[in-house]
Amino acid sequence: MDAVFARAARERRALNIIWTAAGRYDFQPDFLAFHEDGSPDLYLNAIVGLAYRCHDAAALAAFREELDASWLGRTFTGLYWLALESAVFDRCQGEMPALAVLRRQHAARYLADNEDLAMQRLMMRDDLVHALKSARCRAVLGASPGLLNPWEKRLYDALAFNGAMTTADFITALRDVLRRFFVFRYGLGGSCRGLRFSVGAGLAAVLRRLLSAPPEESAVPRLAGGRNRPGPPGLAERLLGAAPPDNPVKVLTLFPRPLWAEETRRTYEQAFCTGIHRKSHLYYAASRRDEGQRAANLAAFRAQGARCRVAIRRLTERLQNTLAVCREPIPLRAGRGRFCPRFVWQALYQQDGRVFTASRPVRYAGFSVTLLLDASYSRAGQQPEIAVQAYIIAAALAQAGIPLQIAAFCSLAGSTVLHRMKSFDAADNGAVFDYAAAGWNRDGLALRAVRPLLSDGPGLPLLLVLTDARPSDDRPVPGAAGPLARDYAGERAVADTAAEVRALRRQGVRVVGLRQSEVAGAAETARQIFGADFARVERVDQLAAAVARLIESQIRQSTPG
Amino acid sequence: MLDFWRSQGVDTALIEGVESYRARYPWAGERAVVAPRYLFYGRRIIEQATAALLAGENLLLAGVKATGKNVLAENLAAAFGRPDWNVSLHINMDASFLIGSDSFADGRVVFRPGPVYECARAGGFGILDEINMARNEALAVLHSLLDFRRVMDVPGYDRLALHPAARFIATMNHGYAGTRELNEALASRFVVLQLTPIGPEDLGRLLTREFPSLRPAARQTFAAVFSALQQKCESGEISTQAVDLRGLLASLALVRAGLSARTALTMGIANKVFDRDERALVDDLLDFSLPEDLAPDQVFGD
Repeated sequence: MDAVFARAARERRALNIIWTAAGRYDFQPDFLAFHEDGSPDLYLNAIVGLAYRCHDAAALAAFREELDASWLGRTFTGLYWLALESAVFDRCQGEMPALAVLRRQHAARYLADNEDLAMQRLMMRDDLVHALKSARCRAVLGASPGLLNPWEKRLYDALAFNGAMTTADFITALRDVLRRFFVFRYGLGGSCRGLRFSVGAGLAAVLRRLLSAPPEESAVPRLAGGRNRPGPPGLAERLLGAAPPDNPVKVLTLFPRPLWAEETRRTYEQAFCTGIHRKSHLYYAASRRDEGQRAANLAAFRAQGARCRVAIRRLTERLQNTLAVCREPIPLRAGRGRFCPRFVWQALYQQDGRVFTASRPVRYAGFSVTLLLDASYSRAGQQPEIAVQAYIIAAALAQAGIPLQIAAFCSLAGSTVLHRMKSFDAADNGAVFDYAAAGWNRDGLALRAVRPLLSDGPGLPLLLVLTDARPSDDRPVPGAAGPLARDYAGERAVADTAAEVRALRRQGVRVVGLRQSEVAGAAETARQIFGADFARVERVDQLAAAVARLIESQIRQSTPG
Repeated sequence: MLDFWRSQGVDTALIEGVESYRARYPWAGERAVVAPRYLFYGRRIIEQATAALLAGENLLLAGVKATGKNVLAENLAAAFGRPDWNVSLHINMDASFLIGSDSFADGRVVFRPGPVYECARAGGFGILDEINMARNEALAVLHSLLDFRRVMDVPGYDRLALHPAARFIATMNHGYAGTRELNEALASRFVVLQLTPIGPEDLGRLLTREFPSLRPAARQTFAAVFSALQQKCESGEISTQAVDLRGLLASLALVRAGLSARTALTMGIANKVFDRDERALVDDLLDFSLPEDLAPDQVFGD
């Protein structure tokens, strides 16, 4: 997890440099720049951001795409960045005193990074662009550019664009440079016909390698995230919940490691799979196998890393504050405070002036939290979002010193599966990114099944249920007439779930719903299930306040006096 | 203060109203009317606040960090010619902290008045700073004082009637560490002014007034740093820790004392950010905004 967070933090830093330079935060740049060691390149990212500030970003992006699609796309894109760097620096250096310093630091770092490259990196490098870039770096540091080839010298000079150019001027000027030096129309428009090459001997070797090489990443890496994100679960996964007969193999495929021994599982199944759940099965899992979804969840977390951190901190502070507020004061004798007549005789006869009482606060933290996540297929479109939200809650509660466990539930092939992702004892919250949706959600049975987990925590159990308040399962409810069966859905399922919530509350468990659903009527069903103890959560930044409010309410209810 | 308001273009009728108030309630108490350390820039806000106080209302100033809530409150007290009693509220505060408590002296129990009691009796301006830091239960004792009744029963003693010149100005910051929602009963006893963060122009004026020898380019740079921090905070990239106007002013004072600008801003702002990743964002912003070796003589002129 540390490596994931570190990468997310580096990307966030690069993004922030660009946004800072651009002076706005309402866009996602196409490029982020990093040094060889993976740290953000402050100067190049600043140039990217300043380009957004000074130029028409859409026009530049279109032009860049045009270059990228040409035969020498990789080289031309490199030359584009060289020209843009020159133009943006020239325009902004006067108003930004640090820019010249950053440029020198960048130049020194670039030359140092490229001194002793591995062969693999050398093969990937664009020699022409590197030669020109190195020349510029040497010039920035006050040395001679060091170019020997006259053709390269002329190209180097031609790419020294000035800052007075408009976006249209810049594009026109760069087109002109490319035409003059590469002597063919680089724009393809889907066709390679009519291209005429006429380049120097030195460049010919470069071209041979370029044209034979497979497309590489641009000199400036693309923004991570989104591209490799797996899509929603496929048909096979969807079909897992489509009323097949009992098939433990399918369950074990997705949840390979059981939480408890078979004998224990069977005991709980016999205890809980009764009444309208008597045709269902129970399975307690300790792991979930869906690497693709985990990667997508982590990518979502990385993409909003800074916001998550802020949300975690706000939630932590709010929880700590709530715990501090709802304390039980202890009256103590004191030299000032509320007058207490029964101590007066001691003042008169024992010269003890402490005839007042003052209150000393005592922390209240006598409860543990279980976060139960609906992991049915209906949440397939929200998996990364739910995982991120769950992580925020988990991290904040951990920092506030509140014991927490996390479990997810779904129903597959006739079995309701309860997957414990984090126990009270586990220090790492990263397992919450294993969250993946499949099958149905037999909420009533899941709320029964969670009972054994609740007893593991210290103090009074508080159960937070992240749900869409729409319980449903393909495993039918056994009918009164025996073989007749009805669906576990709608009012029947809601009533069953509400009954289980009430049963838990009778056993001293505080049950609170976190409803995340846009479906009409979900508010009403959530109210039926959870009573007043539920909140609607739409966005990540609302989660902190919603959870804090609910926990605050629960703590107040449980505070004596 | 009123001259400054006139220079800001504050409505003449409101200024005349303040002058009339001062003539009706001339201050003759022992507590000094303190000239505020900083001036509040923002004509529209000053006019709205003044109108509320002239109408006899209590004022709740709400806003995030660096909106000048306390500066405005102190400016208003000075403009109205009344001393202020500034009460910083906190989580462990109870009613006796505000009103007063029993004390034992010379063999007998005596009442030792608290700041709210003294302010209400003398007719001062009570500034209830960070009112949402306190528990609502502790503030309930103020309800009768702050509404139309304008009285407060002190258990075991007497009934305190609010001096007609007295006003209460509360400040609050949503989302600040340790704050909560203000309950409706208390909020209904105030008229509320939402203050917006200080803008670049007002910040520039403030810096010029506080540091007259600040070079224009340096003023622009420091103002830009602060604006970028505000923007980053509004975008949810960083918390409010680094958006610290006091820290910015302190940094400039450190530069004037001889430190480089980067070092001073690190001490005044960046070091207040304790989250490692967030700190990196603030450091990047400072690296981007000003050279590391920006010396005092490049920041301040003669």
